[in-house]
Amino acid sequence: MTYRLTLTWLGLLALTLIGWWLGHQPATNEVQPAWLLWAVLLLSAIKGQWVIDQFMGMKTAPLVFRLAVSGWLLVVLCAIALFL
Amino acid sequence: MTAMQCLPVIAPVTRRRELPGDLAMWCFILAELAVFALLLGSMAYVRGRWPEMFSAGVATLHPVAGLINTLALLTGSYWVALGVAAMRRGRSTSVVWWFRAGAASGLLYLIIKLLEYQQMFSAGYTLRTNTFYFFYFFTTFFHLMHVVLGMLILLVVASRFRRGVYDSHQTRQMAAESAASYWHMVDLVWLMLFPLLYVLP
Repeated sequence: MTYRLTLTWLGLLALTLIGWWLGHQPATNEVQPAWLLWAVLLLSAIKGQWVIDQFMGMKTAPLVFRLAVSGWLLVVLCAIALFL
Repeated sequence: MTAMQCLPVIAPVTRRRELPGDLAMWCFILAELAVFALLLGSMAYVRGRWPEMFSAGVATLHPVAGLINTLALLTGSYWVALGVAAMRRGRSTSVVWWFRAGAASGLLYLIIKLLEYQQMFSAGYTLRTNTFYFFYFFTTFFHLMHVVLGMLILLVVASRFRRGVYDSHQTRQMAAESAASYWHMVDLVWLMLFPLLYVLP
């Protein structure tokens, strides 16, 4: 179990650094490519779901609670994506 | 009697899905998540409605401060999860130290955030500067209060573990998992604030 938690933590740190690096790429003609925005959002989605499943332990929680928390993540990410 | 009738009946082994922590804590967590969804959705709307104002506001934030705070909260969540794993193995002393370490990561977050606020106030930015700063200060301060509450919960539960207040495995499990779930919720909310304020170009 500890091994799994350590892998999750290392994965989360790696995705955070990759996302931060992507978000701070110099823009060409003051416009960032759309794929870059979507990539940052995708990385945030993966990180959020990892925290929910591995750290919070929602993977083994009653389905209604897992859906409520994962649904929250989806709603917030959709709201961000809607106004990108 | 046939051979089949003599065989013992073996029930299929199914793993029960259990909520990590107290149901009351989870009602509280879901209510908090609903409020944060409203705030994050409003921030996303402001970003889309007034992109120039939002970009100008984001440019005044310290991107490295946001990155360090994210790494601190993720590491804190990892330590707290290790504390819950230690509790399941019956190692109460380890729970105390892992929960204290989790609270320490919250303290690092708190110091960095307060330094960031101080830097922005001295540069003349307040809640009244424009809509971006209103949402920035309001949402991040509201989140900061949750970090402080999470730290207090972790420290109180760690102290009760140290004093041996919990007298059964069930109460130990309920206390550790409830505190950890709240802390992970605080981390999860920050994972959505981070791209909005410090990453998305």
